Formats: sequence, C-alpha cells, structure tokens
Amino acid sequence: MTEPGILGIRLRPVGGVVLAMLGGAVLTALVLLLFYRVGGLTAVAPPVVLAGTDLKLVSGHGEPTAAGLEIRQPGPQGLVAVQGVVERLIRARLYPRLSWQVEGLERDSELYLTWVTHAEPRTVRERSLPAQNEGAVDLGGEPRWQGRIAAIGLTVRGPLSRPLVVQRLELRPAALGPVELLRWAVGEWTESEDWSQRSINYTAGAPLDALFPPVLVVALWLGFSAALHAAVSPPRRVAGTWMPYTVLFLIGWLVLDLRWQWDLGRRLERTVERFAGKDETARRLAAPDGDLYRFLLEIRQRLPDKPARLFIVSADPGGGTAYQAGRARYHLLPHNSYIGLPQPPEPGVARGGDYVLILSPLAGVRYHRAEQRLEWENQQLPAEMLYSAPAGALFRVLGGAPGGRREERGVRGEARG
Amino acid sequence: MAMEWWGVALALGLPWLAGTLWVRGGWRDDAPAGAWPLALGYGYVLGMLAVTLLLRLQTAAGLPLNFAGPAVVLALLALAGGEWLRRRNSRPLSMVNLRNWIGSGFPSLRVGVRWQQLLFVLLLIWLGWRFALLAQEVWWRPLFPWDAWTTWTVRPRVWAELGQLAPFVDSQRWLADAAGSVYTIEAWNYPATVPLLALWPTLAYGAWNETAANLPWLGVYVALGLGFCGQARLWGATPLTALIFTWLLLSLPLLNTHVALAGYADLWLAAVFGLATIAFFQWVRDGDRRQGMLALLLIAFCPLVKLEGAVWVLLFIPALLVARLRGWLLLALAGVATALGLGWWWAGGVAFAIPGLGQFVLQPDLIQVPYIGRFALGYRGGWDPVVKNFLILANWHLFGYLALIAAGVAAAAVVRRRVEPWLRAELVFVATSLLALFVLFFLTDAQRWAEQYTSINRVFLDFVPALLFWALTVLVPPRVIAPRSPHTTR
Repeated sequence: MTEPGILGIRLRPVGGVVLAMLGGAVLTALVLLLFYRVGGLTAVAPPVVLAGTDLKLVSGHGEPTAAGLEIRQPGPQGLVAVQGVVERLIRARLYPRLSWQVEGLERDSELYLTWVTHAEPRTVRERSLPAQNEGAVDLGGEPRWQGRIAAIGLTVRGPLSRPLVVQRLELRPAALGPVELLRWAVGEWTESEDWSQRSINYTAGAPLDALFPPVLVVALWLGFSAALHAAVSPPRRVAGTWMPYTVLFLIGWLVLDLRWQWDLGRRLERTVERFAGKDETARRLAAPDGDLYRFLLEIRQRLPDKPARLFIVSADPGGGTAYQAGRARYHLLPHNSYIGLPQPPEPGVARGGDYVLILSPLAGVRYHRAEQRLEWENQQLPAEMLYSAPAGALFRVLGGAPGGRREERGVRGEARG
Repeated sequence: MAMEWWGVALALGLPWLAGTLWVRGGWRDDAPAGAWPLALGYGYVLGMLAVTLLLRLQTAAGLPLNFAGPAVVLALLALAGGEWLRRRNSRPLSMVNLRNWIGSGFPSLRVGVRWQQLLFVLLLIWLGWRFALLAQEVWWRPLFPWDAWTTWTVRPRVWAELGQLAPFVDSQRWLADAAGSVYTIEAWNYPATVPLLALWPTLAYGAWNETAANLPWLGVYVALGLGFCGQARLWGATPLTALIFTWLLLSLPLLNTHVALAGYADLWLAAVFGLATIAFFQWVRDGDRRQGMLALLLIAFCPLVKLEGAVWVLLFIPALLVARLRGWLLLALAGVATALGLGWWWAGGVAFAIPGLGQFVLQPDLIQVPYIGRFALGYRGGWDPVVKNFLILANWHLFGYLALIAAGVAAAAVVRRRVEPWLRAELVFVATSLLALFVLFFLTDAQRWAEQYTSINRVFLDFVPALLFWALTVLVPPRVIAPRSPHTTR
C-alpha cells in the first residue's frame, strides 16, 4: 500500500492545522491589539498614584494632613524634598506620563522630579518641571528615564512664604499604538534574565508585569486556532479526530520550549563567561559574593586548622544581612558557626578560645584595643582582634579554654589592625 | 580526567547499575516494552537512596565514613542483581538493540523513514541538547541557590571535611554545648537523605567539591525521565507518545531550574514521590506486585527526603481504599469517615502526645504535627498567585492548561459513568492532592509563601510528574492487560 504524502504525513489535515494556526495568530494579534487599545492597558498596567500619605519628607519640616503632605519649613539650603516608594517597580518606558498636584508653590520656585531606579537605589536622578501647582509632562524623551523605577518624588528650591502641600503624584502608561505594542511584545519575548536567588522559586519567562506573557499569549493562540479548526472541521466520533488539537497543543508547547531553550543558552553563556575553566577558589571569587569570599579567605587564614567555634555577628541576621552571614558560614565550613546574633555573644555564651566574626556595618559595637575587649550597650567581651578590614573583623575570645580543648590551637598569620 | 572524577563516576554508576539490575530482574523475557527505561530510572533513584542507608549503617556500626565500604556492598549487590537478572532472562543483554529498549510500536522501517521515527529522533536530540545545557550549568556554576548553602549542603560539607556524620542540633543546644562537637543550622531537624546524597560523590572525590556534590541532581533528572518514559510504555503508550510526554516533563522550566541550580531537595522529592505514584497507578490498574513493591519502597522514602513527604504519604490512603474496596463497604467507610470528621469538628478537635515524637494537635483552627510544623487554620483566600503561577508565568509551560484538559476529559468519563477502578483511584488521588495543596496555601500561613512566590511552585513540583502521568492515563488508552500472571495480585 502506498503511504500518503511525505514521510507518511497526510498533507490535507496538516494544511488544515497550518491554516488554523495562521488564523489563530491573526485573531490573537487582533484581540490583543483591541484589548490594549480600548483600555486594557490600564487593567494590566494600572496608574501609580502616590497621595500625600504615601510620601515621606526627605528634606524640610512638616507632616501629613488630610489635604496632603504639608511642609512648613524647608530643610538645609532651602530645600524641600519628598519621596514615595513605587512598590510595583514599574518599567519607566511603559510609564512616561507624570502628573503632579501641589499647593503653595511660589512664582520663583524651582520644581524638580526626582527618582531612583531598582538597579541603582543609591543614585537619585532629577529633572526640572514647570513650576506650576498642577501639571503633567511626558517623560518619553528623557534619556535617563530608564529601567525599573523604585521611588519618585518632588524637590522644590526657593522661598516658602506659606506651607507647601504635596497632594498627589501620578504615573500613567502612554497609549500604545500597534507598532509600539509589537515592539513591546518583541522586547518582552526576547528578554533574558540571568539566574538569581528568585530563579529556584519561579520562572517568569518575561517581566513579571509583562504585557504579553508568553504562556498566556500562546494559550490564546492555541485557543483561537483550535476554535477555528473546530468551526471549519467539527470533531467527529471517529479515530484520530483529536489529532489536530494534539498537534496544535504540542506546537504551542514547543514554541514556549524553544524560547526557554534560547533563554537557558543565554544564561549558560553568562555562566561560562564567569566560571568556566577556573578552579574552585577562582570560581568562588567570580561569584556574586566574590568580595566577601576574598575577605573570608583572610579570615580563614587566621582561624585554627581544626574547626573552631565561631559566632558570626551581623546587623540583621534574620533579614537584611542574612545573605552575608549565611554565605560567611558556608565559606568558612567546617568551622562551627552560629549566625543568628545581631550583637556579639555575652561572656557566658562565648568562651575563651571561641571566635567572633563581625560583619560590617554593625552599629553600636566598639573595640578597645588597649584593654582588648569588645563593648556594646552595657556589655563587654574580652577579645583579641586578629584581623580587621572594611568588610568586618575577627576576634578571638580571651579567657580560660573550656575543657582544655583549645590549648592546641595555634593562630596562623599575623594579627593586624 | 583526573582519578578523583573516575571515583565520582563510580559513585554515581555503581548504585545506578545495582538498582537497575535488581529492578530489571523483576521482569522476565516477556517483559513489556519499557521495562529497561523503567529499570534504569527507578534503579538510579533506588540505588542512590540505598546509598544513604548504607552510609547511615556504616556510621551506626562505628565504621569510619568512607567511600570504599558502601562501594563494595554496592558492587556485590550489582553482581547479585546481575546474576538474578541472568537467571530470570534468557537474553539479558538484548538491551543493546534499541528496538528492544523501546519495544514495538513503530511502523516497519521497511517502508522508509516515517514522520513518527523522524520526530522520535528529533525529540531525543532536543532532550539531549537540554541535558547538555543543564549539565554545563551544574559543572561550572558554584553552589548557588539559597537553601542549598543555608540548609541542604551545610551538612554534607561538614561531614565530608570532618570524615564523620557530626550531629546537627538546634541553636539552644549548640550554645549550651561546651565541647563544640555539635553543629547548628536553622533547619537542623530536616531529614539527612538529601545531604547524604550530596556527600556520597564527594567521598569518592576524596574532598569536598561542589560540582561532585551536585552531580546526583543531574542523574535524578535523567532517571526521572527514564522512569517516566518506561512507565508510559508499560501503560500502553507508543514509543513516540511516551517520549512526547517525557519531553513535556523534562522541558518544564522550573524542573530544569532545579537541575541547573542543584542543591534543593525538591527535585528529589518530586522524583521519589512522582515515581512512587506512577508505580502505584500501575499497580492499581493491573495488580502487578512488582509495581506495588516499587511504589512501597519509594513511598517509604518520602518522609526521609523532606518533611512534607510524610504528609504526601497519607495521600495514598484514600486512593488505596477506593481502589481496593467496592460497593457497600466503600460507602460504609466513607460514612464512617464523614461521621468521624463531623464528630471531630463538633468536639473541637483532638490533642494528644506520642512519647518520643511529641504533641499532636488536630483542631479545626490549629494543626500541629511534630517535626512538620504548627499551622493556624483559617481561610486566607487568594487565587491570584495560583492563576499567575500556573497559567501565566513560564514555570510550567502549558502544563496548567493540560491538567485542566485532563480534568475535563476525566470529568466527562465520570459523567458518562465510564470510570474504571484505576481511574477512580487516580481521581481520588488527584483530588486529595489538590485538597492538600488548597489547605496548605489557602488555609494556613503558607499562603504567604504563595503570595511571595517562594514555595508555591516548589511544593507543586513534587506533584508534577504524578499529575503529568495521570494526564497521560486519561488521554492515552491503556494497553490490554494480559491474563493473570504470577506477578499480578488483586
């Protein structure tokens, strides 16, 4: 018996599936275009509104009132500055429309928009605004309005003869035409993230607030394609009737998997660039915490050969410094560490011969070199400083060696600092 | 390759070989298609789990922690397994023929290359490429994800460097310990199986090495795929269908991530629990005692891999009852269970203590189970993380939609009253699994983990292999079961 088509594939049903896919793609594009043109953008990317209560005074004296954040006196150098956090970390390019509402701006005041991005939280950028109580500008032409916005605010320079009330700051997305929407879709689908500490928990596949999440778009495409196919060629109760739908589904999966494979390849390129061909120490130095590791290499040299009992102290071990403390413990294994302390251990807890590693910055703890003791609040711990660097300092607790187990320990390296 | 890496290869290869031979020996010459991939997949997982037992035994016997002892035992096990396989199979090495690996199901090659064969080969290449990418990540990247260096890899590194299984205790006991002989981490009471899995290849390497410690994760990825593919063939899927479903599983981005960023226990629990469930489904369908044995062995390990594994084990009970009981007995049992539940609710719950374990509290507003946790109950609804993570984000490709389609097909079968006992048991299993996830993420404080996306996907990963196989059983008709063999039981 002669097999039909090429490689045994029947061409007619394949043509049906291909046409359904093309029709589905057109329908998906039209529906998405329609959705974003008739107001869907506001649903997906709602405006960011910072009322007076959402703003904090950075410079000046005042307080929140029912009308807004009221500033009665400017701060140093006649500066009034307010700032609010943008919790959703919006994409600047999507939100170019800024509007503001204040009360009490003088004629000769200077008004500025200030912002910080997620990537550079310590860099405050500013741009002048028309000195009006109410206004709106388009930031699309501002070259520094890039990345993800973590906070925005207003700065006023000039006299303040009456209280200034900041009532509202608002960022809105721009209306997007078909070409811009296509550009956004392409941009989101070709965006590749590197591995991060979030990766193990979820894979977004595109920005979390994407306008065109790949999985959803492919699901829509498959849905429309399947509906078109069913409309033209209704399923019957015969064998193989579900094959076109199976093929459609698998093609959709393949599209997503192609994108994921490409993304994995990009991630691997970065991994290879950073780590390939290096020994274990060099790889750790090339890791995101390489500077910390370099510091810990110095620390390790000053610890004894045998595992030591070590208290790793950091400002917020359950939160902000958990990463540094945890990494320090891991890099110093098999030294026997405890990382849960925000202050040095009390003398009853730490014993002679134990070690204390303080990770900077740690406020309120001082070291008296002459008297060889750590002091904090109303407590103190006799300790010898073995090493000090901007990243932290290592101390050996002075006193009797418990159980006689520490006598044999020698300390390698010279004590500095 | 340096000598130490040959040792690592041996550390991974020996348990794999021993496990494979023993599992494959369960089937004789007339083994259905898929027996070899099944044996390779289940063999690796069981072999590696056996290693963790051997390491425990080694320490319990007072012997020094080393590679040689367990390796000798594994080599003997492999020899015995090989002999068992040889006795039960007249052509034990027929595996060299690819057609015997994957069994029949392809149209004859004599009519030329068909699209099924072409697609099969292309899929294999695609999966190989994926494996190569992930393998390079494992090879080059230093230990990266958070819980790996705070929890799962701290113990193996200490053990590898000290040459003994030093105990880990809670922080209070560590602070009070004058001898400095105990270690502490926050998750000090987590099971030791996964740390032992990371330790094993480093013992062969001769020193702590992160790449060596992570390689078992790459192995379990392959084993999960082989075990799944073999079971799909045993179910009755054609080679191409089985490979397509295997591709669906092995292409899932979150699963891939847990290989590339090795070090978490979730991939192991997904493999152990998933393969256990699949074997359980097979046993429920045809009563094959070998599948029942595989399921039992793996179920027994679930609590030893992760604490929640102890809860997942309970999910088998309702499915087992539905599979084995019929008619009035089943209805009576359901009535008794309902009455007990209502009585428990009316009485305000129960609290009791088990010596050696601790205090149990099972109340409508609070559940406390030693070693697992204390959960205040109360509805904290929020479907947004569920919809976002399963239907919008890239975690699972289109798996969320596939599960919905499978649920629809299964529901249609129920409506048409065409529910085989195995499908009924599967449905009960899926329903109780989803109920467990609902309780966890909607009624307890774990809802916060869902909102923050920290563990909603990782917990779901445990269920994905089983749910994907369930989708396969719903969509692919099972093979016709041969007349009762000595290995079937009802």
